[in-house]
Amino acid sequence: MPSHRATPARGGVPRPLRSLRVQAALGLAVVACVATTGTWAAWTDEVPVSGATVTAGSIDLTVDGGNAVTGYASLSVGAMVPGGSVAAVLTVRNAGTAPLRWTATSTATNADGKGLAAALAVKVTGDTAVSGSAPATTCAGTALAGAGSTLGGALVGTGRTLAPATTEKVCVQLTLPGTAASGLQGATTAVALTFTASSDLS
Amino acid sequence: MTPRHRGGPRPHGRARAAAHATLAALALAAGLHPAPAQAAPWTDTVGVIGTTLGAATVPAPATFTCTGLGLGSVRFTWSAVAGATSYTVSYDGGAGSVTTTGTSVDLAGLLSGGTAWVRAHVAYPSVTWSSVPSTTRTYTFVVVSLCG
Repeated sequence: MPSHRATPARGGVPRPLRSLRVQAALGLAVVACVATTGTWAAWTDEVPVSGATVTAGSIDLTVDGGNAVTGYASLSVGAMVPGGSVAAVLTVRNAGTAPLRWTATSTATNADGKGLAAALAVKVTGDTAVSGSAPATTCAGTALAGAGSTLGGALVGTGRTLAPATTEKVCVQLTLPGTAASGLQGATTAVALTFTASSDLS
Repeated sequence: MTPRHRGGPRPHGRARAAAHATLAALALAAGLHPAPAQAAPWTDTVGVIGTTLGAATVPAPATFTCTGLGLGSVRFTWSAVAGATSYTVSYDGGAGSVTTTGTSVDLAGLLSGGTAWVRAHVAYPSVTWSSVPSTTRTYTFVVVSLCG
Protein backbone atom coordinates (compact mmCIF):
# COMPACT_ATOMS: atom_id res chain seq x y z
CA MET A 1 0.00 0.00 0.00
CA PRO A 2 1.28 3.48 -0.80
CA SER A 3 1.88 5.77 2.08
CA HIS A 4 0.14 9.20 2.29
CA ARG A 5 2.89 10.71 4.34
CA ALA A 6 5.09 13.26 2.71
CA THR A 7 8.18 11.73 1.59
CA PRO A 8 11.27 13.86 1.77
CA ALA A 9 12.72 14.54 -1.66
CA ARG A 10 16.17 13.71 -2.54
CA GLY A 11 17.39 17.22 -1.53
CA GLY A 12 15.90 16.96 1.82
CA VAL A 13 12.92 19.35 1.34
CA PRO A 14 9.51 17.87 1.36
CA ARG A 15 7.74 18.12 -2.04
CA PRO A 16 4.69 20.09 -0.82
CA LEU A 17 6.97 22.65 0.71
CA ARG A 18 9.03 23.09 -2.41
CA SER A 19 5.83 23.49 -4.43
CA LEU A 20 4.69 26.16 -2.06
CA ARG A 21 7.91 28.12 -2.57
CA VAL A 22 7.55 27.93 -6.29
CA GLN A 23 3.98 29.11 -6.14
CA ALA A 24 4.94 31.97 -3.89
CA ALA A 25 7.69 33.04 -6.27
CA LEU A 26 5.38 32.98 -9.21
CA GLY A 27 2.80 34.94 -7.30
CA LEU A 28 5.32 37.59 -6.43
CA ALA A 29 6.39 37.77 -10.03
CA VAL A 30 2.82 38.28 -11.17
CA VAL A 31 2.24 40.93 -8.55
CA ALA A 32 5.45 42.65 -9.57
CA CYS A 33 4.44 42.64 -13.17
CA VAL A 34 1.01 43.98 -12.42
CA ALA A 35 2.41 46.59 -10.08
CA THR A 36 5.00 47.85 -12.52
CA THR A 37 2.91 47.82 -15.67
CA GLY A 38 1.01 50.97 -14.78
CA THR A 39 4.15 53.04 -14.46
CA TRP A 40 4.94 53.04 -18.18
CA ALA A 41 2.48 55.76 -19.24
CA ALA A 42 4.44 58.60 -20.87
CA TRP A 43 3.84 62.16 -19.88
CA THR A 44 2.73 64.40 -22.69
CA ASP A 45 2.22 68.06 -23.26
CA GLU A 46 0.57 70.01 -26.05
CA VAL A 47 0.91 73.57 -27.21
CA PRO A 48 -1.79 74.66 -29.69
CA VAL A 49 -0.76 77.18 -32.30
CA SER A 50 -3.81 78.86 -33.78
CA GLY A 51 -4.45 81.77 -36.05
CA ALA A 52 -2.75 80.42 -39.18
CA THR A 53 -4.91 80.88 -42.30
CA VAL A 54 -4.22 79.13 -45.58
CA THR A 55 -5.78 80.73 -48.63
CA ALA A 56 -5.61 79.29 -52.13
CA GLY A 57 -4.19 81.56 -54.78
CA SER A 58 -6.06 82.48 -57.94
CA ILE A 59 -5.18 82.56 -61.62
CA ASP A 60 -6.90 85.40 -63.41
CA LEU A 61 -5.66 86.70 -66.74
CA THR A 62 -7.09 89.74 -68.40
CA VAL A 63 -6.37 91.30 -71.76
CA ASP A 64 -7.08 94.98 -72.16
CA GLY A 65 -8.89 94.77 -68.85
CA GLY A 66 -11.31 92.04 -69.77
CA ASN A 67 -11.74 88.33 -69.35
CA ALA A 68 -12.99 88.27 -72.93
CA VAL A 69 -12.51 90.89 -75.59
CA THR A 70 -15.13 91.11 -78.29
CA GLY A 71 -15.25 93.46 -81.19
CA TYR A 72 -11.53 94.08 -81.07
CA ALA A 73 -11.02 96.43 -84.00
CA SER A 74 -7.57 97.81 -83.31
CA LEU A 75 -6.07 95.26 -85.66
CA SER A 76 -8.84 95.49 -88.20
CA VAL A 77 -8.16 96.99 -91.57
CA GLY A 78 -10.37 96.91 -94.60
CA ALA A 79 -8.03 97.42 -97.51
CA MET A 80 -4.53 96.14 -97.00
CA VAL A 81 -2.16 96.61 -99.87
CA PRO A 82 1.09 94.81 -100.56
CA GLY A 83 3.63 95.96 -98.00
CA GLY A 84 0.96 97.40 -95.76
CA SER A 85 0.71 96.52 -92.08
CA VAL A 86 -1.42 97.10 -89.03
CA ALA A 87 -0.29 96.94 -85.42
CA ALA A 88 -1.85 97.25 -82.01
CA VAL A 89 -0.73 96.97 -78.41
CA LEU A 90 -2.55 94.69 -76.01
CA THR A 91 -2.18 94.80 -72.26
CA VAL A 92 -1.91 91.44 -70.54
CA ARG A 93 -2.51 91.54 -66.79
CA ASN A 94 -2.25 89.06 -63.97
CA ALA A 95 -5.34 89.98 -61.99
CA GLY A 96 -5.00 86.95 -59.73
CA THR A 97 -3.06 86.39 -56.56
CA ALA A 98 -0.61 83.79 -57.79
CA PRO A 99 2.13 84.07 -60.39
CA LEU A 100 1.16 82.80 -63.80
CA ARG A 101 2.74 81.95 -67.09
CA TRP A 102 0.93 82.97 -70.25
CA THR A 103 1.09 82.07 -73.89
CA ALA A 104 -1.02 83.08 -76.87
CA THR A 105 -2.26 81.53 -80.08
CA SER A 106 -4.06 82.82 -83.15
CA THR A 107 -6.60 81.50 -85.59
CA ALA A 108 -7.76 83.00 -88.87
CA THR A 109 -10.52 82.12 -91.28
CA ASN A 110 -10.30 81.62 -95.03
CA ALA A 111 -13.96 81.68 -95.96
CA ASP A 112 -13.43 83.04 -99.46
CA GLY A 113 -10.65 80.60 -100.22
CA LYS A 114 -8.29 83.30 -101.40
CA GLY A 115 -5.73 82.64 -98.71
CA LEU A 116 -5.30 86.04 -97.11
CA ALA A 117 -4.76 84.49 -93.67
CA ALA A 118 -1.92 82.38 -94.95
CA ALA A 119 -0.37 85.34 -96.69
CA LEU A 120 -0.28 87.60 -93.66
CA ALA A 121 2.94 87.79 -91.68
CA VAL A 122 2.85 88.13 -87.91
CA LYS A 123 5.24 89.88 -85.58
CA VAL A 124 4.89 90.13 -81.81
CA THR A 125 7.12 92.36 -79.74
CA GLY A 126 7.20 93.91 -76.33
CA ASP A 127 6.70 97.41 -77.65
CA THR A 128 4.40 99.55 -75.58
CA ALA A 129 3.31 101.66 -78.53
CA VAL A 130 2.98 101.22 -82.25
CA SER A 131 5.17 103.04 -84.72
CA GLY A 132 4.32 104.66 -88.01
CA SER A 133 0.91 105.46 -89.34
CA ALA A 134 -1.73 103.77 -91.43
CA PRO A 135 -1.52 101.94 -93.70
CA ALA A 136 1.81 100.87 -92.27
CA THR A 137 1.72 100.88 -88.48
CA THR A 138 4.35 98.58 -87.04
CA CYS A 139 5.87 97.11 -83.91
CA ALA A 140 9.39 98.43 -84.21
CA GLY A 141 11.10 96.23 -81.62
CA THR A 142 12.49 92.76 -81.90
CA ALA A 143 10.18 89.80 -81.84
CA LEU A 144 9.55 88.09 -78.53
CA ALA A 145 11.13 84.71 -77.94
CA GLY A 146 8.95 82.00 -79.37
CA ALA A 147 6.70 84.45 -81.17
CA GLY A 148 4.92 83.12 -84.22
CA SER A 149 5.43 84.52 -87.70
CA THR A 150 2.17 83.39 -89.29
CA LEU A 151 -1.45 83.18 -88.27
CA GLY A 152 -2.95 79.90 -87.21
CA GLY A 153 -0.71 78.70 -84.41
CA ALA A 154 1.48 80.03 -81.68
CA LEU A 155 1.40 83.77 -81.32
CA VAL A 156 3.54 83.79 -78.19
CA GLY A 157 4.76 80.24 -77.87
CA THR A 158 7.26 80.71 -75.09
CA GLY A 159 5.51 81.22 -71.80
CA ARG A 160 5.95 84.58 -70.13
CA THR A 161 5.73 84.88 -66.38
CA LEU A 162 3.63 87.55 -64.76
CA ALA A 163 3.64 88.28 -61.04
CA PRO A 164 0.33 89.06 -59.39
CA ALA A 165 -1.03 92.52 -60.10
CA THR A 166 1.48 93.18 -62.85
CA THR A 167 0.96 93.86 -66.53
CA GLU A 168 2.83 93.34 -69.73
CA LYS A 169 2.23 94.99 -73.05
CA VAL A 170 2.61 93.12 -76.28
CA CYS A 171 2.56 94.62 -79.72
CA VAL A 172 1.01 92.54 -82.49
CA GLN A 173 1.71 93.42 -86.11
CA LEU A 174 0.09 91.90 -89.19
CA THR A 175 1.73 92.55 -92.52
CA LEU A 176 0.66 91.80 -96.07
CA PRO A 177 3.96 91.04 -97.77
CA GLY A 178 5.06 93.35 -100.53
CA THR A 179 4.99 90.47 -102.97
CA ALA A 180 1.41 89.47 -102.18
CA ALA A 181 -0.28 88.12 -105.26
CA SER A 182 -2.85 90.20 -107.12
CA GLY A 183 -5.29 87.36 -106.61
CA LEU A 184 -5.59 88.33 -102.97
CA GLN A 185 -7.56 91.43 -103.91
CA GLY A 186 -10.76 91.65 -101.91
CA ALA A 187 -9.86 88.71 -99.70
CA THR A 188 -10.93 88.85 -96.07
CA THR A 189 -10.08 86.96 -92.92
CA ALA A 190 -11.34 87.03 -89.35
CA VAL A 191 -8.60 86.77 -86.78
CA ALA A 192 -8.99 85.57 -83.20
CA LEU A 193 -6.34 85.63 -80.52
CA THR A 194 -6.38 83.41 -77.47
CA PHE A 195 -4.33 84.15 -74.39
CA THR A 196 -3.92 81.32 -71.91
CA ALA A 197 -2.53 81.59 -68.41
CA SER A 198 -1.30 78.65 -66.37
CA SER A 199 -0.28 78.26 -62.79
CA ASP A 200 2.49 75.98 -64.00
CA LEU A 201 5.53 78.21 -64.07
CA SER A 202 7.92 75.54 -65.29
CA MET B 1 -15.48 7.09 -35.60
CA THR B 2 -16.92 10.56 -36.24
CA PRO B 3 -14.73 12.99 -38.13
CA ARG B 4 -13.55 15.81 -35.92
CA HIS B 5 -14.33 18.59 -38.40
CA ARG B 6 -17.25 17.35 -40.35
CA GLY B 7 -19.08 19.82 -42.60
CA GLY B 8 -16.32 22.35 -43.27
CA PRO B 9 -12.70 23.16 -43.17
CA ARG B 10 -10.82 22.79 -40.02
CA PRO B 11 -10.58 25.88 -37.79
CA HIS B 12 -7.01 26.55 -38.85
CA GLY B 13 -8.10 26.15 -42.46
CA ARG B 14 -10.84 28.71 -41.97
CA ALA B 15 -8.40 31.18 -40.52
CA ARG B 16 -6.00 30.58 -43.36
CA ALA B 17 -8.76 30.98 -45.89
CA ALA B 18 -9.88 34.19 -44.24
CA ALA B 19 -6.32 35.46 -44.27
CA HIS B 20 -5.96 34.59 -47.89
CA ALA B 21 -9.22 36.30 -48.70
CA THR B 22 -8.12 39.40 -46.86
CA LEU B 23 -4.79 39.47 -48.64
CA ALA B 24 -6.51 38.94 -51.96
CA ALA B 25 -8.92 41.80 -51.22
CA LEU B 26 -6.04 44.05 -50.27
CA ALA B 27 -4.13 43.12 -53.39
CA LEU B 28 -7.22 43.71 -55.50
CA ALA B 29 -7.86 47.03 -53.84
CA ALA B 30 -4.27 48.04 -54.40
CA GLY B 31 -4.51 47.04 -58.00
CA LEU B 32 -7.75 48.82 -58.66
CA HIS B 33 -6.86 51.93 -56.74
CA PRO B 34 -6.26 54.75 -59.16
CA ALA B 35 -2.81 56.14 -59.46
CA PRO B 36 -2.13 59.22 -57.41
CA ALA B 37 -3.70 62.20 -59.12
CA GLN B 38 -1.33 64.44 -60.97
CA ALA B 39 -1.48 68.07 -59.97
CA ALA B 40 -3.23 69.74 -62.90
CA PRO B 41 -2.26 73.37 -63.25
CA TRP B 42 -4.91 76.01 -63.04
CA THR B 43 -5.55 77.83 -66.27
CA ASP B 44 -7.43 80.86 -67.46
CA THR B 45 -8.14 81.79 -71.05
CA VAL B 46 -9.01 85.11 -72.63
CA GLY B 47 -10.28 85.31 -76.18
CA VAL B 48 -9.81 88.37 -78.33
CA ILE B 49 -12.20 88.34 -81.25
CA GLY B 50 -13.71 90.78 -83.68
CA THR B 51 -10.64 91.48 -85.81
CA THR B 52 -11.23 91.42 -89.53
CA LEU B 53 -8.68 92.15 -92.22
CA GLY B 54 -9.32 92.65 -95.88
CA ALA B 55 -7.12 93.15 -98.87
CA ALA B 56 -7.60 96.13 -101.14
CA THR B 57 -9.13 95.85 -104.56
CA VAL B 58 -8.09 97.69 -107.68
CA PRO B 59 -11.37 98.63 -109.29
CA ALA B 60 -11.90 98.55 -113.00
CA PRO B 61 -12.57 101.90 -114.68
CA ALA B 62 -16.19 102.74 -114.12
CA THR B 63 -16.73 103.81 -117.72
CA PHE B 64 -15.22 102.58 -120.94
CA THR B 65 -16.30 104.04 -124.26
CA CYS B 66 -15.07 104.05 -127.82
CA THR B 67 -15.43 106.33 -130.82
CA GLY B 68 -14.79 105.62 -134.49
CA LEU B 69 -12.18 107.99 -135.84
CA GLY B 70 -11.97 106.89 -139.48
CA LEU B 71 -10.83 104.01 -141.57
CA GLY B 72 -9.90 101.29 -139.12
CA SER B 73 -9.25 103.75 -136.28
CA VAL B 74 -10.98 103.76 -132.90
CA ARG B 75 -10.49 105.91 -129.84
CA PHE B 76 -11.06 104.20 -126.47
CA THR B 77 -11.70 106.35 -123.42
CA TRP B 78 -12.21 105.37 -119.77
CA SER B 79 -12.58 106.93 -116.39
CA ALA B 80 -9.59 107.25 -114.11
CA VAL B 81 -9.07 104.94 -111.17
CA ALA B 82 -7.64 106.39 -107.99
CA GLY B 83 -4.10 105.20 -107.45
CA ALA B 84 -3.84 103.55 -110.83
CA THR B 85 -0.42 103.86 -112.36
CA SER B 86 -1.29 102.44 -115.78
CA TYR B 87 -4.07 100.96 -117.86
CA THR B 88 -4.12 98.21 -120.41
CA VAL B 89 -6.63 98.15 -123.27
CA SER B 90 -7.20 94.76 -124.77
CA TYR B 91 -8.72 94.54 -128.26
CA ASP B 92 -9.50 91.99 -130.94
CA GLY B 93 -10.99 89.86 -128.22
CA GLY B 94 -7.78 90.01 -126.25
CA ALA B 95 -5.51 89.16 -129.15
CA GLY B 96 -3.90 92.56 -128.89
CA SER B 97 -3.28 95.00 -126.07
CA VAL B 98 -1.74 98.34 -125.38
CA THR B 99 -0.73 99.89 -122.06
CA THR B 100 -0.81 103.56 -121.29
CA THR B 101 -0.74 105.85 -118.29
CA GLY B 102 -3.53 108.07 -119.63
CA THR B 103 -7.26 107.55 -119.85
CA SER B 104 -7.64 107.22 -123.60
CA VAL B 105 -5.91 105.59 -126.52
CA ASP B 106 -6.34 105.69 -130.30
CA LEU B 107 -5.92 102.43 -132.12
CA ALA B 108 -5.52 102.14 -135.89
CA GLY B 109 -5.68 99.15 -138.18
CA LEU B 110 -8.68 97.60 -136.50
CA LEU B 111 -10.11 96.50 -139.85
CA SER B 112 -11.65 93.27 -138.73
CA GLY B 113 -13.68 94.53 -135.81
CA GLY B 114 -13.86 92.89 -132.39
CA THR B 115 -14.26 93.51 -128.71
CA ALA B 116 -12.21 95.61 -126.32
CA TRP B 117 -11.92 96.31 -122.59
CA VAL B 118 -9.57 98.03 -120.20
CA ARG B 119 -7.90 97.11 -116.91
CA ALA B 120 -6.41 99.43 -114.34
CA HIS B 121 -3.07 98.67 -112.68
CA VAL B 122 -1.59 99.79 -109.38
CA ALA B 123 2.13 99.32 -109.03
CA TYR B 124 3.44 98.61 -105.55
CA PRO B 125 7.14 98.47 -104.80
CA SER B 126 7.43 94.76 -105.46
CA VAL B 127 4.27 93.76 -107.24
CA THR B 128 1.56 95.18 -109.48
CA TRP B 129 -2.09 94.52 -108.87
CA SER B 130 -4.57 94.68 -111.74
CA SER B 131 -8.29 95.21 -111.81
CA VAL B 132 -10.84 92.97 -113.36
CA PRO B 133 -11.81 93.90 -116.95
CA SER B 134 -14.05 96.85 -117.49
CA THR B 135 -17.25 96.77 -119.47
CA THR B 136 -16.64 95.30 -122.92
CA ARG B 137 -17.14 97.37 -126.08
CA THR B 138 -17.63 96.05 -129.60
CA TYR B 139 -16.20 97.83 -132.63
CA THR B 140 -17.07 97.08 -136.27
CA PHE B 141 -15.55 98.10 -139.60
CA VAL B 142 -17.93 98.81 -142.46
CA VAL B 143 -16.77 101.82 -144.44
CA VAL B 144 -15.73 103.74 -141.38
CA SER B 145 -15.19 102.43 -137.88
CA LEU B 146 -18.23 102.12 -135.69
CA CYS B 147 -18.17 101.54 -132.00
CA GLY B 148 -20.83 100.58 -129.54
